[in-house]
Amino acid sequence: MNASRLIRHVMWVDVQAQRGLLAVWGCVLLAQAAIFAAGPDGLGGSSARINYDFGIAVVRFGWTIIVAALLVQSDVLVGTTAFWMTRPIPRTVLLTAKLFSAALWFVAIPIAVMAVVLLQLGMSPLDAFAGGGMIGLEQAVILAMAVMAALVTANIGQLVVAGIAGVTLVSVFNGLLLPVLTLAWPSVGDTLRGVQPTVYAVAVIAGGLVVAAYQYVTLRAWHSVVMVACAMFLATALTRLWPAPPVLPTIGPVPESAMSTSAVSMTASSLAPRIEDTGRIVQGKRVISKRVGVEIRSTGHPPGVYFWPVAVDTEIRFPTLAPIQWSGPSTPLRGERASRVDDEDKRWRSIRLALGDVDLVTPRGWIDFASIADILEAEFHAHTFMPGQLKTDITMIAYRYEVTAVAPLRAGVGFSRSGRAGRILSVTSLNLGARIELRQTSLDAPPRPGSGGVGTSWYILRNRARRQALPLVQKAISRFTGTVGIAATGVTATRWVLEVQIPPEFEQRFTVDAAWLDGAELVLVEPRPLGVLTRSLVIDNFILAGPPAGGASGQPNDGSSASPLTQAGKGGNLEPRPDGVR
Amino acid sequence: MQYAIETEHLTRRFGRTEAVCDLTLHVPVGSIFALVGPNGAGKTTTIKTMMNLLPPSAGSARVLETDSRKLGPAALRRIGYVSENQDLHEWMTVAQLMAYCAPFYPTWDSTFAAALARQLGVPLDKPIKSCSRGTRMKAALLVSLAYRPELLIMDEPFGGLDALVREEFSSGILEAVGGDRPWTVFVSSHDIDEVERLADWVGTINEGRLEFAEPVLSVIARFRQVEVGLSDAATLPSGLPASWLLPEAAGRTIRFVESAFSDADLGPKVRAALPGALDVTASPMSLRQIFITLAKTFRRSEKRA
Repeated sequence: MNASRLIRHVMWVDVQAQRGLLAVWGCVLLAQAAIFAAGPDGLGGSSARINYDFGIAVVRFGWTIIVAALLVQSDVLVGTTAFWMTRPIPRTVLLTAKLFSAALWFVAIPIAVMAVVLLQLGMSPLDAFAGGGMIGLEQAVILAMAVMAALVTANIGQLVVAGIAGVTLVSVFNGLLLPVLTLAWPSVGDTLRGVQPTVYAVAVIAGGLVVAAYQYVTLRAWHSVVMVACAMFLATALTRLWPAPPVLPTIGPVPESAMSTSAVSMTASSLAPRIEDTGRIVQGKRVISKRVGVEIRSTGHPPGVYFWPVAVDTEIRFPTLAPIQWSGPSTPLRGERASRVDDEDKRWRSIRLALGDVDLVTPRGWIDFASIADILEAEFHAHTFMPGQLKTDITMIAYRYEVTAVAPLRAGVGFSRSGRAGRILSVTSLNLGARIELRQTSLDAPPRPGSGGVGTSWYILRNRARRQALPLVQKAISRFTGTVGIAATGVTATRWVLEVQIPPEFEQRFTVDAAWLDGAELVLVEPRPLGVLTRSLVIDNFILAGPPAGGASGQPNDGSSASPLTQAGKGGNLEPRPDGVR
Repeated sequence: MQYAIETEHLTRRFGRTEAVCDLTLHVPVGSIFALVGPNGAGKTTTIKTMMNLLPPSAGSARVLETDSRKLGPAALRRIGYVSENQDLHEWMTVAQLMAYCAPFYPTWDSTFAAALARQLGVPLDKPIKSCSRGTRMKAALLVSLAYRPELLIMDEPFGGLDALVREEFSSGILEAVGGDRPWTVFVSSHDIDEVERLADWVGTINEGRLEFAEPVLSVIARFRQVEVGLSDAATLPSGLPASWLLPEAAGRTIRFVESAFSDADLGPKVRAALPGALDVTASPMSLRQIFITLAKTFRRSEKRA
């Protein structure tokens, strides 16, 4: 019998040996699938669902550990009494069969089950398997740990002891040795940026494979114990020491195909900056500083494109005082525009253009101030009212809103785009307006660049026949991330209740009744980053503080926050949530 | 002579304890070799070292002309192994155990296996975990014979078996071995009666050291219980021949075990050592008696040492 048939033979025997436990495993996976498929509000509400999901995840982990250990220990690798050791079973066959079985039962099948659930929820096959892969990664890590422990133990009792010893050692390593290491080499400390789950997962899985191969080939249990300890320490150390991924994903320059970048120029819309109090850590102590923002306007680009500052390199020169220099990330400062009609918000303009030839109800406009410097309070006060020359290089990301999914506005209709699938659960006509209930499943991606408004996606109701569109506003949300574990990302299920709210000034034009809704469609619009652009801005006679200049921007006399003219939340306006719909 | 098993100065230590010490042993092809010794003598360690379950600390072992440390699937296809310490797959029935083992042996003979199962009286559909110890051992024997191995190694196969099961077990081995092809059987036991019935070669091991190894007939031939009648009350003289084991005097009689018996030499040898000897009676001994004699002799020599 050739090796592949022997591998299948051993795998089949293992299936028979563990058939009872595997049947329970199947039930665990089905239960998890059912809980996920039930949605965020299923099973008696979101809090109950959290308990169910957490409970089933614990059972899933526990069962994986027990059954994987039994799978390995059914042909035990320590001691001298194992039946297989005196039989002509090639060790490579045994190793391969065990790893295949473990990977099939505890990684591949959970991935497949989750993928089927996601497919049923409307995900594309690629996204469904990507979502299943998140559970697969968790499972692979748990499996690798269980296999490593089972390789060097003869039974579950020993496995438990080994597990306790391992957890204790890793805790000691984390709690005592790593901090010492950090103190000894401060540069190491600089790179400690929290847990890197993917690095940990890969290290543990790789360690598990190496230890398994070594133990099956050599049967040197004590060597393997040392290797297991090293693998766990290495995984922990790598996790802690591995540089964190950049907050901003790597985005290249704006391509010429998107727009002619040479024509783009920046101007400050007002000389008066916006000042906000903020804090900064200096030599381990938190100190108050002032964040200075200026409103920037861009010209020379297509109307659907807007720019979001992400980094600045600033110098403010003064005739008699020392210059102020600062470089770092640019944090948006926001103020509300008094009128929504006189100067359309650039992002809403982009949305309107993406939607086509429609009349769009836009929320009250926002003024986005790009922060150009964080200045320590004492330094700030020393330079107040002294005119200087501001020169700043602003790095921005160019965005454009695009329509990513469209669905007829009917209950039961699904829609999807890469990484996200949704279904309209119900449509209720209000007087006037509408309430729409959505179920959405998404692969939770890292934060979009320039988050905090710029990365906001919106659900919009559009009626092409009437050439009208309205953004939907969130009334209720329940959200649940479907995996409890260590994976960097999870699969998120969200239930939305969205409503149309029509500001009084639009009520005459927008008659959103049942007839309007009949011809409507649900549109998902999302910003797409086009690339990075850097421009210099020079402002002469720049004054750090001063009286409010016009209605566009300013600062209060107490120096604490935005002026009354720019404060948000006045009146009964349509108020989009800063985070919008995700 | 060809040997199925050869060990040269084989030594296995556990820490400071020498479980097997400088053991040199040759098991001829086609023999049924019994390694006999008390509990803790080193029999199991010797076998585990031969089977590559333990690496030797010094010396070497060759099994079917393969160094024990390189014993792999190719050699194991030619070796059957039965041990009281072996972990069988408890969840399997005997039939499932046979089905599990068969694919690993190109020479697996299902007809022969079925016949063996009938002969040994092994219930095929019974889970091993609910089988008696005797049935387990017979199941282990069954899956170790069904591929007609060239060498069958058994470690204490009779321990804890009742008389009927022992009989069935021994018969099974003898019938299997008695075929066309000469099989070599290496069996360790502290049960001398079973060994006497099975073995044609015997070796004794004590405290990890091999004391002797030779054909059973040769051993039985050279050991005699000797009783010498004297004219006067006897006392044991000094300078008795070294081959006389456990000499003792009782009234006008001296008894000892002659370990180098020769019909022609015994009389002159006794008269030379015991001038007052009137009559000499030499009785054959069973293997059990011989081993008990040897064990007592070793114990006395240890005490003297």
